[in-house]
Amino acid sequence: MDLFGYTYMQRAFVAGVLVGALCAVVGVYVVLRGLSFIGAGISHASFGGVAIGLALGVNPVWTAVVFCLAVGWGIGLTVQRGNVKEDTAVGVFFASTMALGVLILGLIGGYQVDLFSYLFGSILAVTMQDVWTTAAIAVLVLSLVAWLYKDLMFAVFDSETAEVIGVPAGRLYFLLISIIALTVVMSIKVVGIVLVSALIVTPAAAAYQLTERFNKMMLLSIAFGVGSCVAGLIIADRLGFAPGAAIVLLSTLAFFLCTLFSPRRRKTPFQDADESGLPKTSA
Amino acid sequence: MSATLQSESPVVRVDDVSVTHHGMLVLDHVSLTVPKGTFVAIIGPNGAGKTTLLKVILGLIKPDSGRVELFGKPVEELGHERSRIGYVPQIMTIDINFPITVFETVLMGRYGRTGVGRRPTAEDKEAAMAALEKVGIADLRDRPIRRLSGGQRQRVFIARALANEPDLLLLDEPTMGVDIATTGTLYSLLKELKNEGVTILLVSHDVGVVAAYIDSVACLNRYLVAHCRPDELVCTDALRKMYGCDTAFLHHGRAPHIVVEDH
Repeated sequence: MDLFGYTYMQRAFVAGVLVGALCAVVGVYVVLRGLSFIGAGISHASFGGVAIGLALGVNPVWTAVVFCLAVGWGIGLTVQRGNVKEDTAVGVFFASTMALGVLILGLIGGYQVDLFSYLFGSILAVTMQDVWTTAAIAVLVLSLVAWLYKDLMFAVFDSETAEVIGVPAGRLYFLLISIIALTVVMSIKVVGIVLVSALIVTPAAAAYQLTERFNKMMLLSIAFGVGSCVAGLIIADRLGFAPGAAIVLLSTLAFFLCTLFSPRRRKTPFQDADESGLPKTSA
Repeated sequence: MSATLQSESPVVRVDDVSVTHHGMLVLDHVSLTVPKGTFVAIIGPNGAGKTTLLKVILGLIKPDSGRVELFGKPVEELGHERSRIGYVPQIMTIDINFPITVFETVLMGRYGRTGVGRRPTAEDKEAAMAALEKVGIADLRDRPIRRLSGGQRQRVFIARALANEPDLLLLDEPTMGVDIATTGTLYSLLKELKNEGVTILLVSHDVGVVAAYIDSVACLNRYLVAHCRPDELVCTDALRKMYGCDTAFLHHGRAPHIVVEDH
């Protein structure tokens, strides 16, 4: 394909595959633990982080990482310590961090900056440095997840029991928030601040529709995430669409198709369990 | 026998614990000890603070005042001792649509022993399998938990607690939403475990079924109304205080039943 002949296109594909996989893996935990809104909160907070970087004249990626980690941990601590619900805490940070970004960009006259590319992605402008940064973070996050696979699953499934028998579910929750923050910032170039939470939630939500096994959900989510990024890029290139939007809309299409064919819809929750709950005896 | 009981520190010691939640007093100076090898039930009406007390005992909720010891150690200092605990949470708090199989769920009961970041060993898998056999659902091992009946699902979470080979087993409303057959099997199983030396603390609103199997009952309604042998409960007006209406125990053979008059 002549598509791959351009180096900017090669970089876009590499970044798309990395970000698609990263978002899909993190998304499984986000969907199962009900953290979608935190994901959206952190992604909007990254706007404030980017603005700080632009104001200070440093690489906005790193200020966004620090800022998103701070906001994520802030939300987590507020929930853990105070009498504030998760969605309330996110609601407070959500808009205020964006407002901070707008304020800072106004002060530095930053509307010359290409705001649109931060908000909706600019995957075709991905640099070699971006690719290496994304690859490094992807390796870090994916090896953390591989290492703590069973513990994260336990903490997401039943954090109280985990804590009771000595699995540090509280610390794993903060690790998860940190992973979400890193993933969000790495995805800004590909789909942008506004669309990144969709790339985290949608592939995992589609996978959830198709399986009742954790491992399969993980693999399907990765397939949907990577598939949406690659197919979205190709379609965007051929038809002249905005790549970020094409990627997100494709994964949404996949989600709706999965919902239609979901075994969760077709069968009753316990079709061949008898009333008493007693196991079938052969005697 | 009482001498040996006294010489050992109790498995659970709750000392003058008070908890407020959103400015409301949920637990009011509660003290409770559970000696080793006994089966104790905490009963009380809805909103009496039963689950809160259980969570305080497990160290999940920090009390405003008072202290809790498990295995003779302050609960906030527990380390590897946590792998001596089996916990069956209220089934309502579990997301039953989570994509996970029966065996994967039961294996989680071992993860405190396995250690963070380590793969489950062959021993862990054997213990999980043994626990599944003990509750009689080994044949369901590969089934997703959402494709189970209420009774089967309850057995899964009991098996998960047993997989940890616990010295102390805590259960929060294990008979809620479970049919009579499974309830009977559950209590026989708990009695069997008690005979093996497991200390059991159970929370329930189900007064009648509990009484036949337990050593002592703690009646909770924000404060501890009574803590005595189940047959002594008849003589007190603990239940009247607790439920706010006239109640009486009737004995049918060995299983006491509770009769609540119109109120």
